[in-house]
Amino acid sequence: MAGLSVKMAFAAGFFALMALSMDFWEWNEGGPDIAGMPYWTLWSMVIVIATGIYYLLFSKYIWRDE
Amino acid sequence: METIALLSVALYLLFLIGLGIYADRIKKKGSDDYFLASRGFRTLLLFFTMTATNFSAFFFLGFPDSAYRLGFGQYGIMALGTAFMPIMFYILGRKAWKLGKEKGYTTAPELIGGESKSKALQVLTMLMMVIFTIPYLTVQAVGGGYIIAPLTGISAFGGALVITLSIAFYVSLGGMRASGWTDMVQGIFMFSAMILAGIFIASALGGLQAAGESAYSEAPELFVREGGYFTVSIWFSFMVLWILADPMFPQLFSRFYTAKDEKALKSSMILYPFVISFLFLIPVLIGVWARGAGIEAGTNQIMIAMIENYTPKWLYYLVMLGALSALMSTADSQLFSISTMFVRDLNIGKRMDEVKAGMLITWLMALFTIITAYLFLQSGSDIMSFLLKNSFSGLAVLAPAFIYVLYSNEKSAPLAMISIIAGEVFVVIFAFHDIRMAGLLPGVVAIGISGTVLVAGHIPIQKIRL
Repeated sequence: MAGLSVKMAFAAGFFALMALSMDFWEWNEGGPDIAGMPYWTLWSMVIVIATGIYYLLFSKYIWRDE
Repeated sequence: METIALLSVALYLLFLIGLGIYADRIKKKGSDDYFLASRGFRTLLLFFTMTATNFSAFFFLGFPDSAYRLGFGQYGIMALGTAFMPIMFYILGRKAWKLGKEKGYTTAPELIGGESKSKALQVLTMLMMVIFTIPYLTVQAVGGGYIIAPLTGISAFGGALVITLSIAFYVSLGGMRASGWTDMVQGIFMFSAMILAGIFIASALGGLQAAGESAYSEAPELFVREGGYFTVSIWFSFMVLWILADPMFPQLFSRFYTAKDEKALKSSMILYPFVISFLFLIPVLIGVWARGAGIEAGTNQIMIAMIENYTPKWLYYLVMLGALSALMSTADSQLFSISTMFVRDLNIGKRMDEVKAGMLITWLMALFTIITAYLFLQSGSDIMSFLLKNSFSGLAVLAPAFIYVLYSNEKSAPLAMISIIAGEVFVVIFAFHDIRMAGLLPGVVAIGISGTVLVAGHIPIQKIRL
């Protein structure tokens, strides 16, 4: 079983990802910046992929088969 | 070409029916095999059945349409929320899978009712799930009719009839196994069709950068969020809504029970965001590019107009079949999950064999869907539109009660019921009065009310027991 501090770190990580997904700092920015898309769309994509990596680590350290 | 289209649709439906017949042939005795495929779905099958069930006709038709009107923000609100949602595979799915295996639970209401030892809570949850799922099922059938109509020359209602009867045939015969297998085929089909559509359209428009620049010159507002629909509050609202609403869809919840082991659930959770990251981008890009290409089309017709204009004819048929796959994979799971709930939660199977009852109710529900689809097509039924508009909120307010019952040591069924009823009352109030609190979607406020009721009621219960 993972310790409380590891569980807290993972919970904080999830909320951090949610917070980072709300990229209010570039809310009024945008143009066909990269591959015809605004930067912030790619930022959203990066967060989605980072969430997949988070789940990978989560399944290794928190969700263990019983 | 119409003959080819007609043959393609016929062959496709026959193939799905064939899978249903085969699933019926290898079916083992007992309701666990019929309703949950003996709880034996491995990773890939579980992942495809979950995603194909989750991605409805909206993925093919609604998504590009929203992006055409609202812009790139559509990717953010859909992809981020759907990527965060699989955390519920751990919070709810793992518990449901484990308790389901131990105690034989088959439906979501059985779990909440069984764990709280309350039949009333079970029936209340079941009713809410059925009420808010039926409109979605109807819309899938109607969508199927709209897709088949131009391909085959039959009417939209004729198409809805053919689709619903085909689904009833293979699902009633093969049960969950047929639903899972067809979901996998349909999932692979729709993902491939979407990727091909993206490649061909991008190529025809001169590549990603050229297509994007052309759209920007015509509609720069699609590239920014400020001043439009996408406020930070709306962004946050959709995240919360998807996380709590998606697992409350009975057709998705029932998939938790079908996992062979925890590894299958975990792997599905990991795969979800990776697949969404690029798959949700394609329909958004196509919708935005349509503005640059000067395409004008009716509601939910942007994707069809783009593939008609920028792809070869064979791909047009393929994408139309992909869209059909998307809605059929959702509809078959919805139909089967509703039938399962009628059998298990209302104990219909006690008076007759559960499998036979499941088959009978699947057909009865299919007939009911045909009637509602007909009424919807004739009049655009107000009741159905109302339920459809509020179905995500109506289901999401059930989530706090599930978390409470699964994790609380001092669970009170009446409190869980009050939480659900309070949430649903506010869903109805918000549906008639567009009250915005802090710019949040009304559904999120209703979820907050459900959760607050539980927290506020739980504290005195603990004190009394101490």
